[in-house]
Amino acid sequence: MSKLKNVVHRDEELVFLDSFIDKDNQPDLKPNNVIIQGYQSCGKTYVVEEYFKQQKNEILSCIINHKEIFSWKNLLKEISRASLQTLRLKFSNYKVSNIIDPSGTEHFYLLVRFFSQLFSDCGQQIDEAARYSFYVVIDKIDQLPEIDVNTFPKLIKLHEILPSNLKFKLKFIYTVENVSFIDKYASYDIPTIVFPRYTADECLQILLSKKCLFKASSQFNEKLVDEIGIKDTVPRVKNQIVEAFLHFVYEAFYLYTGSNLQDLLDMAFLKWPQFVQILNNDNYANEVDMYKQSIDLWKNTQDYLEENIPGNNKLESQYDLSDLSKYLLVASYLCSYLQPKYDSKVFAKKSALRQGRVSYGRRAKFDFNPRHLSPGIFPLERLLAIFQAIYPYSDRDRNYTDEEKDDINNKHFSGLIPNTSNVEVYEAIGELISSKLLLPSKFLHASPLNSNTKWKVNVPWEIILEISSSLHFDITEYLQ
Amino acid sequence: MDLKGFSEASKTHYIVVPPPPNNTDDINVVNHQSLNNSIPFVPLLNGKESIDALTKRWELYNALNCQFHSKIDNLLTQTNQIVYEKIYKILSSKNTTTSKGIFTSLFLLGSDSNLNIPSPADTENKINVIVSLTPKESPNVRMMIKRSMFELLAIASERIDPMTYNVSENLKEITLLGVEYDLSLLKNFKNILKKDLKLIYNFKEADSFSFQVMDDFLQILKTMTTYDGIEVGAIFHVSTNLTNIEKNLRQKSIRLIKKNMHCVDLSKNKNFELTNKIFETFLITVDGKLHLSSSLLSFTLDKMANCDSKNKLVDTLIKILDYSLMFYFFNTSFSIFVDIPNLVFFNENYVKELVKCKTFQKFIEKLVETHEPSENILDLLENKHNALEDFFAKLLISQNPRTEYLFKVKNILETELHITNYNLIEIYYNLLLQNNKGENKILDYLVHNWPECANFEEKLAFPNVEIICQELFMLDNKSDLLSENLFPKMRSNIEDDLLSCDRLIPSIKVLGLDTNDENLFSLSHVMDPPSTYFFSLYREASAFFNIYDFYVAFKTCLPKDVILKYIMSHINNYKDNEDYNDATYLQVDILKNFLEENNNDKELFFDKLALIWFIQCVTEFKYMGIIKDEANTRKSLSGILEKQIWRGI
Repeated sequence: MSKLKNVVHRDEELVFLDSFIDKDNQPDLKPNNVIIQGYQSCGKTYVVEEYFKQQKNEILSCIINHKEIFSWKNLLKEISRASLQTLRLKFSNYKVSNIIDPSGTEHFYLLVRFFSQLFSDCGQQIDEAARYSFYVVIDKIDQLPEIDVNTFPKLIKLHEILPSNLKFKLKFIYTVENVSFIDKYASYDIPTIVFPRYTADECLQILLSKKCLFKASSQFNEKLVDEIGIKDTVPRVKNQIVEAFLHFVYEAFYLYTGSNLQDLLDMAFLKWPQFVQILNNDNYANEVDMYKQSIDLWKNTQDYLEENIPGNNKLESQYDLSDLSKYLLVASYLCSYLQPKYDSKVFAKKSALRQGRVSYGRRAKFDFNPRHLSPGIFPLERLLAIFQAIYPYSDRDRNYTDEEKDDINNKHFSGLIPNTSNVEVYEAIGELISSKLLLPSKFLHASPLNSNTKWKVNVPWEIILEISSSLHFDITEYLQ
Repeated sequence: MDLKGFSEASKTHYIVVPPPPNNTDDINVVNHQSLNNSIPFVPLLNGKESIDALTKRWELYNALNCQFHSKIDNLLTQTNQIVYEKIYKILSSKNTTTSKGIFTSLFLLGSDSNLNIPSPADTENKINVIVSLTPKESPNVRMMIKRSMFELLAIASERIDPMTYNVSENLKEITLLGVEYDLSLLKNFKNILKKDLKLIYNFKEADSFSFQVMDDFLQILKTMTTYDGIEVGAIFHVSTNLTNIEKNLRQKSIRLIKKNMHCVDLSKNKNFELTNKIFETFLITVDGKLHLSSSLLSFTLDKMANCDSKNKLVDTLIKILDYSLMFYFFNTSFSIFVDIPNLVFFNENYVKELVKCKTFQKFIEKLVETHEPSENILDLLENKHNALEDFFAKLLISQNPRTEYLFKVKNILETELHITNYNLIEIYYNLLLQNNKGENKILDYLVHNWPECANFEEKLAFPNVEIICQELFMLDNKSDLLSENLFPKMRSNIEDDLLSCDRLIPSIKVLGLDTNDENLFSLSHVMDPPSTYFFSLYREASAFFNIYDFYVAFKTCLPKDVILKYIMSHINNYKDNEDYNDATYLQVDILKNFLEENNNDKELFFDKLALIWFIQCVTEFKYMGIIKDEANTRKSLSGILEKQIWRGI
């Protein structure tokens, strides 16, 4: 076969593939199922696509894109739909008969019925003696969602169930990422082609082969013409710049992405507009200068969402916890990490009355238990109780008028400290729960209204320290 | 197949919006007679307020309230308009890099997902469709695709002229069934409808999506862009921070989003901009006549500080202002004079109140000190020759120095110092406070926060004036009415209601029922609801209590004799009483059967009746979250109940 011009470093694999595929319209001589195995981003799908594209006049084929498949029923429908479309293109005078409806093939027996009907209908239009293979490529069959163990064996045995007198023979090519998937079906002895990972050099070469994508960028061309004053007709300079850029990308991020070319390309696309901005009259001819001036680009991957906002380096946070919620969070942290039996000693204002062991019963030495390092669970009432104990009656730093001071004192001594349990507090708790800072102990039927649900805090020590310091609240004092 | 009907039927949930009440507008039109009954205000001035004044007060309140709200609505729609334009610009912008595999993504920060984004207008050969998805509707990718294809087809087939183009016929090209709700629809969209499509996904509450699903779906969006004639956009409503989304998605998806990403900040309140505007609107609406007390302002500031999201803040502020205005008009007889022509209502009764006013008394004292002619003072105090009335009228006409000053400060800050991050309410609050020297704190406050203000000290100085009769025009949070109503304490409210049930259940007299009506069977004639008895016992109990002991106590505290007598009298004569309605008849019938089952033993009958009530109460209280089964027991019924309180502290 002739070499595919868009495919590099896959010569050997192509020869294997070619030898397994029936080009001479003698379907009985070639295997019915072929597996192509290789890890992510090593060109499996691409090679197969290119191969069939080149041979599309000789070989009937259709390709199922794995991203469009959501379940095995969906897969069967897609297979029949794609095959119908291919055959319809090939035999333009073929009319769809009423019996054939690809969306009806929700089971294997229906798929069999569909194909026998389809093939026999189409077979009427070709010579008596001719026999064809019909290839269906199923992409990443091991990655499809909701595919059970039985689906694959059923697919590979499909050709046996179809009537043997048909003029078409249904054949499958599967691409698979996981070796363990093949191991599961090892006893079927399916011919397998293994695609090795690209080596570093091969990666670079493939990356460089994509340079036309970058050269075509309008931003780049405008920049070259307008600022640097190079005519569109000088391909050498353009080539040089793009090649240098791809080299930088490769050098900087190959260690990060590994041989995953898709990621490497994505990264290059992200960096390209920024890189073009850095180009100017002085540096475009010199690779070292280009690198030096764009050094910030290569220091990190920049795949964060926030930096993309133009003209605003530091995004103002939209969503901030109020002081009330912060106190609740601190209280829930204390709930999670303090023993309930010490509560009265730690928090009660009258703890002086009951000091020492009396206040919390017998002291037993705890065995060290790693579970004590994870947050303990607590009922919601305990959270409210501790919250009341630590919440100051006013957290706003301002001077009160005398009237207000009296008011506050009166409320305090009559036990009416504001905010003890009003709607705001409950709202804030709801907010904490929905932002997953407070977690229920079990997720089934978890509800703040259910007394069986216990809660635990979901914030690490460093963050709670930050939060409590923003409140001028010394949490370490409680946890000694 | 009727697409709309089918998709409607396949929904898992519906949103029902109650219709707006019809008669909100014609409050002002209703004549006086019927008003007497319908005005919720009560006559003030010890009940001596005239009906006309009362009506005027009510009308004035409604007018102001309407005015305020319409202004606020305008303000909000204006801010929304600006945002809409931004969004439109992004959505309708042409993709500059036309390469496949890139979709426009738009993050709406601080959005509460209620924003209704209309799709951009269709062009001749391109349809724009917005499909909304909520987390509830998106348990997995399959459902998301199915739903969105439904919607897409429903919208698209509406937009296409059925005369020139038969959609359902063309759909048969793909399958015989007509439609298939998966990606094949998109794949063949151009074939079927002969038009390009811009499909925009609108992810509501994007931060509550299952991120695994979202991640997979983004990859599918990428696949969609590779189809012929399809452009894809995605709108994410983010109510928390962007980092929250970022940390949950795979790096791969983030790179995908970043290829063409835009952000629009929807949070209405950047640097108090909107709250300032709302507050200003309020001051203008009440014509600058009204003052706000420091306690109300500090209350407002406190509550605003407790708002987590900035959108909630706006709502809270509007609600507080609304309530305070209502409270003021309900409570203060002088409120009618906010509208000066109402001065005709001024009479003897008002004079008494006015003279009592503290600031007015101070003013009189000053007059005495400065040796004003005593005639004048007496005239004022007794309203001879309408002296007081004239004086009062002058007061009303004069401008409110505080409001005036506030606008002046605002102007200086904005135009001369270019400061925008001030909080107008806080400035007002500091205007009312006094420092040690008895001067206003406002200058200290301004200089402390924005040192540039020191250069404008002269302009910014505020004379410490006593405003006469300001108490009468003061919005206040007296007796914590606002805090109680806007931010009720749940637990104590429930407990109060349980203790005195007439807070919730109107007594029989109010309902207009006759206690002696023998045709009506209702135990409420003779007893309170059982939960009231239950709760009064509960309050006395310790944290743990035995369920049987509690039942016995409950039984004894019910008014046994009265209840039995009442029931028996009804049982005895219900047979021949034809006036009973069906429900009552049934009730009494059941009671009679119940009695007969217990061999007409009244003691046993009452015990069981009490038990029924008791069990009902226990269950109700458990649901209310007031009691629970004893903790630390694995048995389902230990016989011990526990109060739902924390005993640790």
